[in-house]
Formats: sequence, C-alpha cells, structure tokens
Amino acid sequence: MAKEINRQMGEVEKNRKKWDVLDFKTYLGLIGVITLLFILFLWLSQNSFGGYSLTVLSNLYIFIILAVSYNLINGVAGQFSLEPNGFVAIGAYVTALLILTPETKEAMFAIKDPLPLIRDIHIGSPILVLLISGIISALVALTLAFPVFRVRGDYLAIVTLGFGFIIRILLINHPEVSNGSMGVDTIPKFADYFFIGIVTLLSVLLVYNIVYSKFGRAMKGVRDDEDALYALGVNTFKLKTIAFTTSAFFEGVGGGLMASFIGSISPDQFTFMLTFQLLIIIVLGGLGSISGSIIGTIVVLGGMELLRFLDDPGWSYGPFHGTPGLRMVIYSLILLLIMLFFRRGILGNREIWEYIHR
Amino acid sequence: MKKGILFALTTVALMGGEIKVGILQPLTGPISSFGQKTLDGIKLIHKKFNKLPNGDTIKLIIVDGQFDKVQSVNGYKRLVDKEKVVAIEGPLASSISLAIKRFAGASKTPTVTQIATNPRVTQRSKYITRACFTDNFQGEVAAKYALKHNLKKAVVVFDMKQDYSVGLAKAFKTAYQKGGGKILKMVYINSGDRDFNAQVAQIKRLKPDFIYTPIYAPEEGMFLRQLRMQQITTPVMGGDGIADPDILQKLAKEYADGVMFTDHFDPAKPPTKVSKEFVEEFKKVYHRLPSAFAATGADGYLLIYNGIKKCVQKGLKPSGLKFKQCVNSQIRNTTKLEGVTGVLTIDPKNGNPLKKPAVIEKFVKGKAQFVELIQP
Amino acid sequence: MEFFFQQLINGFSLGSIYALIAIGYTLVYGVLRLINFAHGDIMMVGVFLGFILINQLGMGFGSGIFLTLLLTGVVGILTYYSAYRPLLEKGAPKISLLITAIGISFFLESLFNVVANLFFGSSYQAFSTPPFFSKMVSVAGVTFTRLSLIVPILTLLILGGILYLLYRTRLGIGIRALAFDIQTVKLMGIDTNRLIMGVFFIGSLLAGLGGVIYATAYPSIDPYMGMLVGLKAFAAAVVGGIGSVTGAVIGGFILGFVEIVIPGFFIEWGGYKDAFAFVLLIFVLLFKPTGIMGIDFERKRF
Repeated sequence: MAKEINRQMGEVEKNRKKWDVLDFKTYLGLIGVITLLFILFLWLSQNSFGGYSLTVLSNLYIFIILAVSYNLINGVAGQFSLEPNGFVAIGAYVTALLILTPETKEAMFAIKDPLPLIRDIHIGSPILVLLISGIISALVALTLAFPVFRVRGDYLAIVTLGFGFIIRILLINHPEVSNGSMGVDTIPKFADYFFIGIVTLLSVLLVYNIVYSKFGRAMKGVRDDEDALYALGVNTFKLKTIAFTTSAFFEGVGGGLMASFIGSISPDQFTFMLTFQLLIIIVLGGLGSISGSIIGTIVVLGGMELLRFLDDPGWSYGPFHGTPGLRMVIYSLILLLIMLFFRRGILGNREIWEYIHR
Repeated sequence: MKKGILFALTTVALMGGEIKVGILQPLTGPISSFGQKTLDGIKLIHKKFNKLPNGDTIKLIIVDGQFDKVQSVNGYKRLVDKEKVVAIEGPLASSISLAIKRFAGASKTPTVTQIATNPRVTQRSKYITRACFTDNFQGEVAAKYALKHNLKKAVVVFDMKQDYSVGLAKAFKTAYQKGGGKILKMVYINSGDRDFNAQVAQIKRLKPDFIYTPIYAPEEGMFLRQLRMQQITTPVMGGDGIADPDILQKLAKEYADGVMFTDHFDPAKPPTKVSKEFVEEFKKVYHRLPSAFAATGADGYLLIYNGIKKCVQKGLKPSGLKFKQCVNSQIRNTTKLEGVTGVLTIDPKNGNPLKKPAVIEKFVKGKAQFVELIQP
Repeated sequence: MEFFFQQLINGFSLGSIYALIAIGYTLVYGVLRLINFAHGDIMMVGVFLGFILINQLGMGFGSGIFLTLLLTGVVGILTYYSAYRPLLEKGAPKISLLITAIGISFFLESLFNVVANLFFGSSYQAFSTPPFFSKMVSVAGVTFTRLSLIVPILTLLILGGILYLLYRTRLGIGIRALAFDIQTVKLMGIDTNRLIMGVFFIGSLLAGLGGVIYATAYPSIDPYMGMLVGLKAFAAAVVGGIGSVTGAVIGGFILGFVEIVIPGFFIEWGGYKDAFAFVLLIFVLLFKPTGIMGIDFERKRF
C-alpha cells in the first residue's frame, strides 16, 4: 500500500514539475500574445467600428474589470460579498469630483453650495485620479473589513449589502459633497475607447497575477478550508482583508471609468441591481476563473440585450407575449437554474487554456 | 454599409415607407401611471395624425424608461442608434430628461419632453424642447395663490431625491419670499419613504398656514394621510407631480380631500378646437376623461409631427442627420400650433413654449375639480 | 412629553413588524446556518397575496388575512423545497446557498413586478384595510391609531407562542435539536425535511403577518418593498442575538424605536433613518458579536 502511495506521489511530482516548467514559458507566451492581440484589436476596432459598437464594447470592458475584481473576493477567496455597487459608486464620485474644475463644480451644485474642499480640489491627470479613486475605495473596504472579518465571514454579505444602501443615503443626504440626487454631470470624457481598453487590460493582468501568485493560492486555501489553514498558523484574516481591499480597489477604478464614460453620475445608478448583474456574471463564468469572468461578462451583457424583446408588449410567441419587467423574471430564473444545475459555471474554477491543454 | 442603407432607403421610399418616432416614457416603476396615461394620449393622437404628405406613415417605437436614469439613457441610445428614429418624445420626468440631455445634443436628435418642468432641462441645449410650462412659472402660481389668500407662513415639504421637487421648491420659495411670504422651514423627504411622522410632527409644532408639497403622488398620498390623521387641517398645495387623482384616492382616500395642485390641463375646459375633439375621442375610446398626462403627451407628439411634416413638405429625404436637424429647427420654431393644452408657440432661444397657462385644481371626493386658470 | 409617548408607541409598532420578520430569519439561521435573503421578499409576497385576495378578489378581511398567512407559509416551504433542499443534499458550499437566496429574492421581486403591472396596471398599489385599524385613539393627549396599540401586544403574544412551541412541544424539541446538530438528528432517523419545512412555514407566516401589518400602516405597496425591510429585520436579529427568538423581538423593538424616535426629535437625521439599522449592526459586530441575548452557538440554541 505504501509503495503504491509513493508511486502515485512520484507521478504527481513529475507532472507538477512538467507543469511548472511549461507554466513559466506558457505563461509568458500566452500573456504576451494575448496582450499584443488585444492591443491590436483595440487599435483596429477604434478605427473601423461604428460609434454605437465602440460604446457597447467600452461598456463591456468596464464590466470586465468589475467582474474580474468581484470574482477575487467571491470566487477566489470564497467570501460572499455584495459590495460592488458601493465601491463603484465611491470610485465614480471621487473621479468625478476630482476631475472637474472648481468653476464647473460651483456652477453645477444646485441643491447646496459645495464644501470648499470639494470645490477646490482638482487633479487634472486622469491616471492619477483613477488611482486615487481606487485607493479611497480600498481604504473604505479596509475599514469595513475589520468588524466583519474579525467575527464571522457569514455577515460579510449583509454588511456589504447594507453598505451599498448607506453609500446611497450618504450621497443623497450630503448635497454639499455630492450634489445629492441631482448627481454630477458634464464629466469630461477622458476615458475614450482606447483608454478604457488599456486600463481593462492592465487590470485583468494585475488581477490574474494576484490570483496565480502565492497570495492567490492562499486565498483559495481560505475558500476551500479556512479552518485547516488557520490551524496551520496562516493569518486568514489578513488574506481575506487583502482580497476584499483589492477587489474594492479595482471596483473603484472601474467606477471612475464609468463616470467618465457615461458623463454623468447620480446615486441611483449604483443600486443593488449592479451587484446582482455582476453576481450572475461571475457565477455563470465560473467562480474563481478569470477567463470565466470575462466570458461571463460577454454572455450576460449580450444576453441582456438579446432578451430585451421580453419587455416589449409587441412581441408574442403563441400564448406568451412580452410585458415590461419580464426580462428580469427570466434573468433571475436563469440564475436560479444555473445555481441548481450548473453551479460550477462555464469554466468552473479553471482558466480556459487549462482545458485546452488537457 | 452605405450601399446597403441606400438600397434599403430606396425600397422603403418606393413602398411609401415608415418614419420612426421614439417614445421614451416610464411605463413601469413608481410613476408608471403617469407614463401609461401619457401613452394613452400619444396613441390616440397618433391614430389621427400619422400620415404625411409624401405618403409615409409615422411609426411609434415605444421604450420603457422605468423612471431609471440608466435604463432611460440606454433606451434613448437604442432608439437613436439602432432604431434610427428621427425624433423622440419624452422623457417624462425632469431628472431623466436631464440625464439624456447630452445624448440628444450629441446625436442631434430632436427631443420633445412633454411634461418635464425643471428649467434646466432646456438650458444650454438646442435639441431638447418642451411642451409645457417650467417650474419657475409653476412655483410662482402656487406662491401667488397662497399670498392672495393671505397665507403668509408656509412650510415646504420637498423630495431631496428628485430634481423636479428640488427645483420646484426653490422656485416657490423665491416667488413666495418676494411677495412677502415667510418660509418657516424647508422640510425634506426621500422618495420611497413611507413614514412621514417626523415631518408631520415638525409641521404640527411650526403651525404654518400653508403647506407646499412639490413632490410626486405616491409620497403625497402617504404624507396627506399621516398629516390629516393628526388632525392638521392646514391647506396643502402641490405641483403637477401629484396630479394623479387615482393614486391620491387609493392611498389617502378621504384624507386627500381638499388638496390642491397646479396642472397643465383640465378636460372640462378644453382651450382649443383640437382640445375639444381630443377630449371627445378620448372619452369614446377609453371611457374616461383625459388627464394632463394624456393631453401633454398628445401635444408633445403634435410638435414632432408638425416638424416632420414641414420637413417632408420641403422635399427632404425623411432620414439621416440633415432631416433630424431640419425637424429640430422646425420644432424649435413652432408658431401658433393648435394643441390640446393650448396654442403652442416655442421660443427658439430656450425651447420653452410661450404663454403657457396653468390650471389650479382641487381634489374633491376622488376627482379633480377646476379652480382657476392662470395666464403667465 | 406626549410627543415622546406618541413616538414611543409608533416606534414599538414599527419594531413589531421588524420583530415578526426577524423571528423568521433567526429560526432559519439557527437551523440551517443560512441567511435567507429571500425572507424579506416573502414578506412582500404576503402583502401582495393579501392585496390580491382582499383588494382585488373582494375577500372578507378576516378570512383574507387567514388565507394569506397560510399561503405565505406555503410559499416559504416552496422556496426551501425547490431551491435550498436540492443544494443542501448535493452538499453545495455555503456561498451557493447564499447566491441562490439572492436569486430567489430577485426572482420574487421581478415576478410580482410583472404581476402587478400586468394585472393591476402599475407596480405601486394601495393596500386597503378596514378603517377599524386606522381609527385614532386619544389617551392623555397622545393620539395614535388602534393598530399601533394592537400590534406590539400581538407581537409579544406571538413571541410567547413561539417560545411555547420551541420549549414545550415535540416540534419545538425537534427544531432545537436541528439547530444544535443537524447530522445527529438525521442519524437518529428523524425526518429533518419535515422539521425544516415547519421552520420555513412558521417563519414565512410571521413574515407575511409583519407585511400585512406594515401595509395597513403604510398602504403604499410595491414589489421591492421587501428588500430594505428584510435587511433591517436581519440587522435587528443580529443585534438581538442571532439564533434567539427573544433576541429577534428585542432587536426588532430597538430598531423600530430608534428609527422613529430619533428623527422625531432630530428631524435633520430623518434622511439617515435607513442607516440606523446598519450602524447598529456594525456596532454590535464590533463590541458584542453574539448580540444582546448573547447566544453562543456551541452551547445553546434559541
């Protein structure tokens, strides 16, 4: 029996070594090729696709950033969180308030005059602004993480759900900071198609690197068996916090891009609906899989467009006809069916090339 | 791609084709009854006015904005980019109109909001026109009414979450204070709230002789109920946002009696020939009287129809950027067009109708009763 | 001073609604360790069922409410049976259950949105109750509705009833045993499914009751009303001590009190009403995670 186990372990060792070596070369090669291909695609599409298509793609890219980072806390670290709408809102508002000039803000704030700090603060560089948005989101996440992860990961979902509500309440009740329900508009469009594409590329690469680093592996350990890891002396609290904070960072950046892309933001753009959409995306794509999240984004956003006919009373098929709101019913039904029968999602928790490689 | 369009256009032209007009209204959500009523009016007037001198017909493409900024912006973009409409009627709410403003300009699509009253909606934008009065006027009407009846101490209850409410509250405050009235307090609520006990308690303490509520009907219903249950009999007046007797009746029943509001139209007093015909037709088809929503809906459509007709008469091909620009300029320069809520003349400088009157209505036993007509 | 008493009564009235819903949360959590996100929406389902039976189909109020409560309980059982149970039996990870709960929540919301729009013309409807409940009562200068007086008393009676059920009946012993160690109960050959269905039935019925009371006090109803109320009720359950039925009621009362009294005295805080639940929650997590009743899950249950 012992001989058998030893033999098998030897096999595992051999295969693992092979995989590691392959991994390094494949890693560099694959990443490099994908990056170059994508940049090429960006450049080509920018020049030949129509305005509407570029808008659709830009929206897709932003959602990819959000999905991939949301997957980090939910799929990789296995901590069920409902935070995206909150952090995206923070990122969006920070970006908007930083990038607008004091004169614009003074003129635009309609309910109450802006606080001097809010009015005067102005940073012209989009890259710096996006970074700051991400950092502030991350800091907020850090403060949230303390009470929650200390006690019971269970409560993360409720706390983040409540957090999303609170952010909206704060935004609405402090018009001297956020212009209340009127929101902030005339945000300059520094995020054009190409810029969004590049930021998306960088974000995905960064998150990928985190997931397939020792941190990522540790986070997966927390997901799979936190007690065991804890018993081994690993600081699981730190790992969960890092995952959560990193998610928040990229969601903040995504929010900032969204603010510039749409041009105007207001508190009711960041409702639970946004989080719910991202949840469907990462579940469908496969929790824990980066390429899964990307594919999930394409499928879900595309699907939502395709399913639009369900809301149109003009459409009918036999005894059924479209009615406003039907699309969401089918949408949530699909999520339930996925959870019941197809829980692993499209790619499970592996990346797409791991399947090809087999 | 261009060849394909040319081919399609030629085919369409040969067939006596369709010209698409987009309708973007809140058909679901808290003010869905406003949107549905508007749609009733649009559909009715469209049945009568859909043919053009060149044989083309106008086709309505209806999109539900859901009273949600994101959905409405997406819906707007889809109408412009995918459906390729030549004009859009809507949105209904001021907040949504403000959100789609920049897209109207960017795509140069003539957009007529039939009932958004916040003045900012048409400011600094050549492509949005409105078919109704603005809140500056509406607030003034309410202020003047209160002052005329010697109600000099007022409390304003406004909805912090809605551009319409914030704007109208401000307009009222300015006009009221100018006329010598005293604002005791500006109390705020959040749409979606149901419990206004705190606000009612405050009002009880302040003892105003007039309460102005520039909010939407769902909140007004709950507020009136809680106010009157505390036996506070102070007269209450709202804006066109509460002008839905059905909702007030359902939510507040007898507690809503006596509340007043400013509105765009009273079916018992049709101002033009087109009005009278519209009211008659409406009664026949829907078995009830048209509300201000239906009437303004019809007027928004008429502005668009008139613009399209004039450009078609000029011989322009009914699609593409040039056509949209022509339609927009025609709409902006509308002069003495007979509509349902009155005679429409648009001020090309700001996209607002000139000399649009308001009606003051009182809610009595489940129905809206005419009180006064105010000319600007 | 009358003002304070008035707000106090209003506060307990609102708190009772949170309490009734919180009981359901705490029961399900105690037994399955699952935060049933859909619970708030079960409340909404109860309200709409009541609306359909009483306001649309013209059923009498008493029988209408009775039927509504039963049906709501059944809906609760259905959610367990169709979604949670299959996943539990497959041994699915916790996160799958939570995601499914959210899915059910969203599904119920969008379903009733379509139903309301399709059959009744709009998402927002008015829930009508006999004027008996809205009649104002005056005691020593304090005015309140009959309803606000009846409800807290009713809630305390129900609390007593549930405690009796848990500690003096066989069903109750079964439920408490489940909360303690579900594996052992299964091993002893007891049908855990029926016990769990019982838990869902009771919890959902109470949520439906809470909803109907809410709709009577605030007649404006819509398909999305459940989410926020449910969230707050859960916070109340945690504050009171999740796993304790008494705690759920205490937490509910505290939350209702805070939400009504604070804006009553400091009207500027009115806009933050909805935030109080969350603040209380964070507070409790920071300083006394086991809540007021301090249930230590390794030792006691309920």
